Amino acid sequence: MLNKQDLLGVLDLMRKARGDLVLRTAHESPDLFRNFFEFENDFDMLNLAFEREFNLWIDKHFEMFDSHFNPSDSHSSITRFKRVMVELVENRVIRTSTTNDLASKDFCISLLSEKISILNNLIEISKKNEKQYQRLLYSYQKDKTLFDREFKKLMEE
Amino acid sequence: MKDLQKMIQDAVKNSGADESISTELASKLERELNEFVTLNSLKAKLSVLFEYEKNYLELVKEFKEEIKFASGIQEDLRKERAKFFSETLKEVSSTLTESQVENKVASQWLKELVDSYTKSLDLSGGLIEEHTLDMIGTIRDKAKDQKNNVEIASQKTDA
Repeated sequence: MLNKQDLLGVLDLMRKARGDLVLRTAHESPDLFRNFFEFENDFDMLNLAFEREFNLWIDKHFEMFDSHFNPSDSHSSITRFKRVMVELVENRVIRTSTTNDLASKDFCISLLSEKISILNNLIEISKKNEKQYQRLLYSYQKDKTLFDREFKKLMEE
Repeated sequence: MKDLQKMIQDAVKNSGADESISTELASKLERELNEFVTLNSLKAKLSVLFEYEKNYLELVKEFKEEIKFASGIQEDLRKERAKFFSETLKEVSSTLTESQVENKVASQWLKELVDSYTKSLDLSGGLIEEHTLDMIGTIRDKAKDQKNNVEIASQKTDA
């Protein structure tokens, strides 16, 4: 059984991440809203902007996990977190896959699939797999850059 | 019971009691003996029941904090879900309207937001449910152990 502190830690992290997601809209975050106006007549670009927002939101969980937990934490808390994250990313993959006419669908799905693959490899040993874990941590910056490139590519087409 | 009835009748007969009262005496003895046996058996059953109840109460006492914790986190999540649909979503929708985001864009964004938010809530709910089921399983196992112990103790007393 997951101990109380570990369970509260994971639940708290999820709650904060949900709060962040909502606040970006409630507080009219300029980078997000700029996309709403800039791409209101361009379905592909708009959807790509949505995908970026949710990808970066998923990445935020990893950063939060890094600040909430440390390598000495119980194996079960890391396992539960990983399992929850795999399901969250899979949900996004399903959502993206059903948007059949999204031009960058393959690009978005490949980014999400990579996350699932890293997460699946993460819990093979009892402690954090440092190498895999670092790959998750840098995904925020990497995803931002890859999305920027994809935006640029679509703009030039 | 028939054996007992016969044993009593034989005993009364062998005691040399007068035949005019032997039938009545045998029935009276049988009635009293039956009452005594029934009362003792009831006492034994009540005692086992009492032990069960005592153990269950002790278990509830032992897990009181765990039960309170599980119920508290379930309640927090339920409140968050209710607040999201009754307040947060309205607030977010108003921001989109006030900032004049095009209706179609706003509506598509809200759909995506609700999907991700509720998925995250469901996953948190799943973790809580799993924790609660684990706890119930532990309580059940302990109750089962205690039930077996009470039964063994009761059988020893009977023997």
